[in-house]
Amino acid sequence: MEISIHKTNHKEKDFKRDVMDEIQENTQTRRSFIQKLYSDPVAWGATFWIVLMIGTAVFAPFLTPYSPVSGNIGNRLMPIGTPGHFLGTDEQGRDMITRILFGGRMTLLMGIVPVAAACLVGGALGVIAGYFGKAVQSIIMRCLDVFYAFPALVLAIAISAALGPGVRNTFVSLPIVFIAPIARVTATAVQQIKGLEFFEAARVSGASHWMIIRFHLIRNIFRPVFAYVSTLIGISILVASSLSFLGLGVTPPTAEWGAMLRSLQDALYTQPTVAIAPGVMIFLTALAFNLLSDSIQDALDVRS
Amino acid sequence: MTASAILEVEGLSKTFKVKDSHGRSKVVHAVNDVNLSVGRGETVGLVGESGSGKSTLARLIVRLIESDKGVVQFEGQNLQGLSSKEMKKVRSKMQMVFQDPYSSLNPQMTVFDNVAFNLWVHGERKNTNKKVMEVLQDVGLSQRQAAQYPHELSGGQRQRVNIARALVMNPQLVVLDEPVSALDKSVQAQVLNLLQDLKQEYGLSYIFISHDLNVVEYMSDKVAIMYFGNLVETATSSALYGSPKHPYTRMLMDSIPTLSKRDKWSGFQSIGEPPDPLEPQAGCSFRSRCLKATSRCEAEVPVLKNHEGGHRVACHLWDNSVEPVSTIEWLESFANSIKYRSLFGEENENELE
Amino acid sequence: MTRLFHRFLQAIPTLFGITLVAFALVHIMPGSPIDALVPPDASADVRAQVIHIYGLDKPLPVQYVLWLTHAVRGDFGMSIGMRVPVNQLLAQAIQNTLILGVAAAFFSFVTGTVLGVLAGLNQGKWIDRMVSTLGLAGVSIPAYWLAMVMVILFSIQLGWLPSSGMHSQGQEGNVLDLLAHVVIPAIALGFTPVGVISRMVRTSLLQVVKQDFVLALRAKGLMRRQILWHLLRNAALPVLTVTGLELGYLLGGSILVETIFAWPGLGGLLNSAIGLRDIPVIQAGILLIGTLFVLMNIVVDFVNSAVDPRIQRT
Repeated sequence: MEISIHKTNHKEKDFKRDVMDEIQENTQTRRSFIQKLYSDPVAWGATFWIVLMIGTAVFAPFLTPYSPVSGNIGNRLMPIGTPGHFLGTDEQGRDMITRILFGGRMTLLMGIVPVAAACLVGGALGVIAGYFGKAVQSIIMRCLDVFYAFPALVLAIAISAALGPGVRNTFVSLPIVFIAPIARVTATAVQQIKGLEFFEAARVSGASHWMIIRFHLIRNIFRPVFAYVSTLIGISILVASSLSFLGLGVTPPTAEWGAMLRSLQDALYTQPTVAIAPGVMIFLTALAFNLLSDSIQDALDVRS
Repeated sequence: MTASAILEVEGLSKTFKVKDSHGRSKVVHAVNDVNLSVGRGETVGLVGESGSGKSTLARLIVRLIESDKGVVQFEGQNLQGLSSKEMKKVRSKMQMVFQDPYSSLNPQMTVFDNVAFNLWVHGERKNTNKKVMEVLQDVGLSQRQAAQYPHELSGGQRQRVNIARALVMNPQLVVLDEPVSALDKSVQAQVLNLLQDLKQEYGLSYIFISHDLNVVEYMSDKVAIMYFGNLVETATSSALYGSPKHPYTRMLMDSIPTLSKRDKWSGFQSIGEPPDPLEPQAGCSFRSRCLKATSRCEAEVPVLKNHEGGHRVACHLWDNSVEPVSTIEWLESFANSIKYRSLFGEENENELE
Repeated sequence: MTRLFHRFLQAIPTLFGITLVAFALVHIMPGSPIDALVPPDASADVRAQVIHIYGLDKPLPVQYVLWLTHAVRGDFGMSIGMRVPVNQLLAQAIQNTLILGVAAAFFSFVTGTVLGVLAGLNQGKWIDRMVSTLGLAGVSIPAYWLAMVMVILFSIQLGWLPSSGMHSQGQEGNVLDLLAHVVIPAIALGFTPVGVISRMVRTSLLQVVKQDFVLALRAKGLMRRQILWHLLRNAALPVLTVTGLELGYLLGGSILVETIFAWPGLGGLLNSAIGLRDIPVIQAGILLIGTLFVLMNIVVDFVNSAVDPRIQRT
């Protein structure tokens, strides 16, 4: 709303222009976004690794003759390079490659699903907070502030500790961690759009809130929110595997990279290279998502 | 109320609560007890400096913001207190064109979609294509441009889209909030002519808001001058431009950069900037800039009074319906003005441009 | 001073929320909260006593107020696993965690600043790219895994540094011994913020370089080193802010790293409490970390506004 005070007018206009420039720039890159990403070798590398991980996760049962949950106790802790067990075996004699392939399923799921879920809830909260005026906003934001009072990992650990271990509880605790920041980013984006005149024009046309949100709001906040959310997948993978490492996430005998690191902790002295192998996978996968998110932000030109 | 009026505004007021630089809550009277009527087929010009409340008045009329007091009657129907469903029906007959051609179009929608959105809102899925294309053609845009995004168009073209978006609903009244002030002079003329043509073609009434007196003179049948949330003078266009009465109006007239300025100059050149809206002064809000302010102006707020044949002025100087300037006074102010002119003349012109 | 006070007032609702979360933890867990508060083998007498003290038979709001009044006085009940008052455990643990946390913060601040300056001064060159890659690696690496790798390398293979604990046997007062023990955990914990801090240093350095006064300094004929000093002083503020905020991350990460090194801190305590489902300890630990985090944010805010007159009012 334009408050008619002589002295603020100028600033306000500058701000509007800035926001518009930003959106405009984004629109101009509408077609070139994919092209930019396409010509970025780092993005290619990261995408290749992610696709490879998803592929091996989906087809894991066809890629290995072994079972991920039961092994031959006589073959426990074989070193890397053992015939038939290229990455060795774990403390229960299960094939490491098989465990890593199946473990990738859980890790990828726990990286993507919680972020997607948090995106729906947090995005909706952010839209509501930003769109429906000050009172609604301060109620929602004050409530979310409580979640900001904890470092992400501590919050995830606290909720998981209360709910008890298990995959299902991880899928509850992780989204809760991400809802507050997503809502805040969304609300900020909404407020910037809300001051623009096309928004007022839509209201003059008599459009319902839903029509305005659907046609004028979501399209214009999608990019900044998407860019932010893309940074969260790497974090989600790390937090999820940390939970499993603490025994709060995936429970044995299910394979998951963090849980594998936990159970192999005692083998650190006897078979160190086998014991740290799952960590390499966590690192590379989180790195791939972070690199891709970096490239996405560059391509969208939203980096602060 | 005249029988042919399409819009009647009575006693419309709006205050904003703002915080001043010390964080204290202050009340700003953005629009103060405004009365205005727009006849069918008429263009009413609304003139004022930035911050005078004219944009707020426009938004109050189309009910983008709720008024504190007063009545807006559209085609005899009081808009205040209408449910959103009832209001939606009215909205299709009362549209608005915005100032900024950049931020007034959704950058993520094509020109076609930006215009068609208004039809979608009113559930008109049939003939959308035909209607949008027709109106785009009427405002002078091609089929190719309909498929483009706003950023691919020039400022003038965008403003045409803006106009098309307002017209696609077949409205009765269009509120034009500084529709050309962001455009280049050459483009301004094109858009103004277009607006004139469309008025005939669509049988529209306009409320035309601007700070540019030349443009308003060209467009309007009736003109209202706004200062600090108050209407200070209303008259037919010819009466107002022929014999401006309020000192503020005269000041505005003086600051029009014309080649024959000396002829029109009336000695009402004023000084200084508008006062701080957060610290309103008692009496007439214009007195600090008025060279003819008397002690009465400090004490009493002037109200809009009929002067002659519908020419209304809110100024104590005109209470006796005669030119309120004695020769000596005039010479005095003339001398003052020359002094101030040399000191402030340039600055004032900039401010109003 | 009034501003600091004002800021504290603003934080009160948040602190209130933290206590609500901590309180809720007991009630969202499956089973009766009484099981969370007393050891399973406790006598019926003790159970009745606890039920009475915490008012577990009363409505939830009453219970919350009772619990809160106890918590404010530092009474978090008894640890189920260790049979000692929770506040005793916490008091010891928080000291040890602060030692590790400060060491890690020191490591990441120094390394981050050095790398950031190097990257900023060599903008676009290979060293710049190296630093940014390292930074990205830092936020992608699981701290506990890095800790494991470093243990293998420096303790098991090379035998340079001790692999766990805070002191060697009988060396409790020896500062050098403590330092030797803190190196690996501090680096493992402080590695992630290095990337964030170096990126921040680089950005703010480049921003300051663009400002006019740097040109003036050059014009005055100052040495490169002297100019750099001016630059750093001007770039320091955002970097301090980021470091302050990263302390929160360190608190979280310490849970993992302390577990691996058997470091007797808050994180290790929490982790063992989680294993035992020792809810009073978890509850108090969460409350403590949340409160610390909020207070830290206030201090960072305050230091910022004290240092930079431009952000007096926000």
